[in-house]
Amino acid sequence: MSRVLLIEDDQAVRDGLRLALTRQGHEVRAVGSGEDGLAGLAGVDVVVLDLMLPGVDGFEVCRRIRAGGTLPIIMLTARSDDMDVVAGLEAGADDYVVKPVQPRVLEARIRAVLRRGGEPARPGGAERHGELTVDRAGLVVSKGGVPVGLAPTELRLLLELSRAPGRVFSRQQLLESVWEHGYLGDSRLVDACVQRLRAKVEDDPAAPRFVQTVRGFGYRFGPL
Amino acid sequence: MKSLRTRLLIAFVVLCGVTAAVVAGVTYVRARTVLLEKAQVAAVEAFTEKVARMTELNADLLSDRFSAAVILHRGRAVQGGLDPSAVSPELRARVASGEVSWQRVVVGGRAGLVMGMRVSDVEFYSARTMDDEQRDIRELALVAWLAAGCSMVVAVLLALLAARSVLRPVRELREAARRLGEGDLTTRVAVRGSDELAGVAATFNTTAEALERQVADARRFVADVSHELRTPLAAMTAVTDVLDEEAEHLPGDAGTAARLVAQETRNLTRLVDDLMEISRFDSGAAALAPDEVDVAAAATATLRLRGWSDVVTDLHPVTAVVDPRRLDVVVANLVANALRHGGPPVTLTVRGERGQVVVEVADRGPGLDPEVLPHVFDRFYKADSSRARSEGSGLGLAIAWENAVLHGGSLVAANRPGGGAVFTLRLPSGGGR
Amino acid sequence: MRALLRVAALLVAALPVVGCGVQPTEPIGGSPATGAVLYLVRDDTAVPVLRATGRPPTGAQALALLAGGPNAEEQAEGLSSRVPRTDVPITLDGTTITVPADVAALPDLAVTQIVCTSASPGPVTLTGGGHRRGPLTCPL
Repeated sequence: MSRVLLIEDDQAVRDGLRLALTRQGHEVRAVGSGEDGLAGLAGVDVVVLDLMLPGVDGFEVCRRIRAGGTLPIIMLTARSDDMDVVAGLEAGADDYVVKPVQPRVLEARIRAVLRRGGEPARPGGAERHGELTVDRAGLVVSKGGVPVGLAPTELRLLLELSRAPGRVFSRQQLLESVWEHGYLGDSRLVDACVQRLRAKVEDDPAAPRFVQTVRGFGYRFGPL
Repeated sequence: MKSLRTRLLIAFVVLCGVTAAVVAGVTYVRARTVLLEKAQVAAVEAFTEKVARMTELNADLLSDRFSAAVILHRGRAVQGGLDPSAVSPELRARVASGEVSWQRVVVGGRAGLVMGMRVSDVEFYSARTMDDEQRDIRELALVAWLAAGCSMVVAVLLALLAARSVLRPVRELREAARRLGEGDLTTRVAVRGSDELAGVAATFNTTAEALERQVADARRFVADVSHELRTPLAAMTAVTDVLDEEAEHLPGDAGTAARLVAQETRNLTRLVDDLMEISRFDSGAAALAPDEVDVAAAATATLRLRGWSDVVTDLHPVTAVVDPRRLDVVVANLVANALRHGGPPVTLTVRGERGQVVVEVADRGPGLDPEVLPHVFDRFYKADSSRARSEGSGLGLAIAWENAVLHGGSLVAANRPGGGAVFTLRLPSGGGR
Repeated sequence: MRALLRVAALLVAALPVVGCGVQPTEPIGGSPATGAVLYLVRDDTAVPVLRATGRPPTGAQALALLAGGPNAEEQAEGLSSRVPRTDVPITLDGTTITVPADVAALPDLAVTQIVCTSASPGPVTLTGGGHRRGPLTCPL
């Protein structure tokens, strides 16, 4: 039973999605503006956010939510091949769905993103990779002793990559394992998440040491 | 006369040639006349002066280094070394009439001046060379030729310059028009000066701007329509599952109505999605999101995602740079068509050819009617017009074809020799456009 | 284009008519020749002598000048005259020369001088002092 905050300005869409999500077993709080959404973040497990909002626009809301914590965010967008998607991902969204969305698809995405946040504890203590410490059990990543605030998807991505340091993961593989999208998802999701991850853990995001790009193949962790 | 440059060159050269010839010619002739007349007048004056100063007849007084003279008394040569036959009868006749006369003669290429006057019954004649004058005149001619030649060279250079100044804007315009035609709507031409070429350039820029604006308007319209349609559809789609689930609990017609609305909402959503895809292709807004993909694995995933387990596959691992979403759309459409309109077994083949990846979907069904075959990728083309509505939107194959072309590849349909239809998708492995 | 070339060709073809180099001419006449030929005496012989005048030569004028005798320049060169110096000029009228002296008494040299100076195309007759001599022609 999870609490979903739905921020969507169109009344009909709001009512419809609230109806569908409630039937799926979620507790839904539906608001019609960015301001109301930002005001009602307390106790929420996942945010479903429409990008086209009056007043404070969707990107700004996304950024503020991301800045305030590790709450998972799923974007609702009307177009799939637009710069809006990339901008939203860069603003901190974990995933996106295209309107009109079938309820079962949205449901699957919500469950996937919640799974990332609440990964069951794994055995083994903290792994040390240079100044980076990855605690798989406590799901904490620290750099130089200071914990780094990662969004659920960013954390899941880092855990996946560092699971086999030096091994190359293709974007398609990461989409399947981290986002659970199926093989033919949008590789921009991976690229945007890598960018955000680098901004948080790398000394110089332009010259990454931990999360490296392997041209033509994908990404890998290290070698340091 | 094919090129503008040649025409300009010829016109310039001819113009210069004629002008130079006329100017040089006229000047030469005039200068020659002046030169000769001056020399002649001087010589004749000297001659008459010497005669005037003479007392007793003495031809030596009349001759010098450059001339010879003779004095005739009553027709008889009494003094002087000049042969009287050197004086032409016409000159003698004129002299006899009482005028101081002279005549230019050319003997053996050398020019000379013969002068004569009669006083009473004594005739005085002097013949002097005009070697100096001849030399001067030849030099004059040479200079005229040289000047004309040089000016022709200058004319050629100027012609080339003029041609370049005209041809460069023309070439730039042609280049810009080509780029515009290829789709770069930001192409502009530099407007230099204010002549007709500049006017054409300015018009070109205005036209390109208008085109750019139109295309931008069209794209914005697509975006606006998309948003407007999607919002009500999103609300409806959200509750189709609810309607389906509750339909069995609704009394009589309400249940049927609920199921009907749910189904048609799904159909409408699919149609709107397809319409949006097509309009994106038309407005040029469709973009590739390429990624390195194992096409065989991708095809497998497509089948798996839709639960098509009874498709026979013949897959060879081939890596290509393609847009995975679009590839999925094409493969799914072809296989769905084969399963729906063709007959079992439906086969999916993936193999690599030189520089390409080839995906074939084939079936052993009735195949394609030869009348239908050329139109199979047309939009909203229904093979059997009597069939009211098929499951698809009528745009599936059209979208598949556009996706193939967007990659720089191709999609063709054909009938198999043993019966059935085969659709062949070819994509460049390097990423095409 | 074609028209341009045709016109140009015509123009260029017209040029050589002018001719190059120095060309011969027909005789050209200038001002009338001036001067007179007087027959003066050197070493007992009549010789033609040129006297500059401002006018074209006529026989009458020449005779008038002859009557005046050699000028300083001519004298300096040793020329003299047997024609008597008179104030009244010697006149020529057709083929008659009137001398203001007795022509019978004139020396032959003087007669030659007079007759030749007159430059008459045909014989002339001298009259003067009541006598006549001629018709005579210039023996030179």
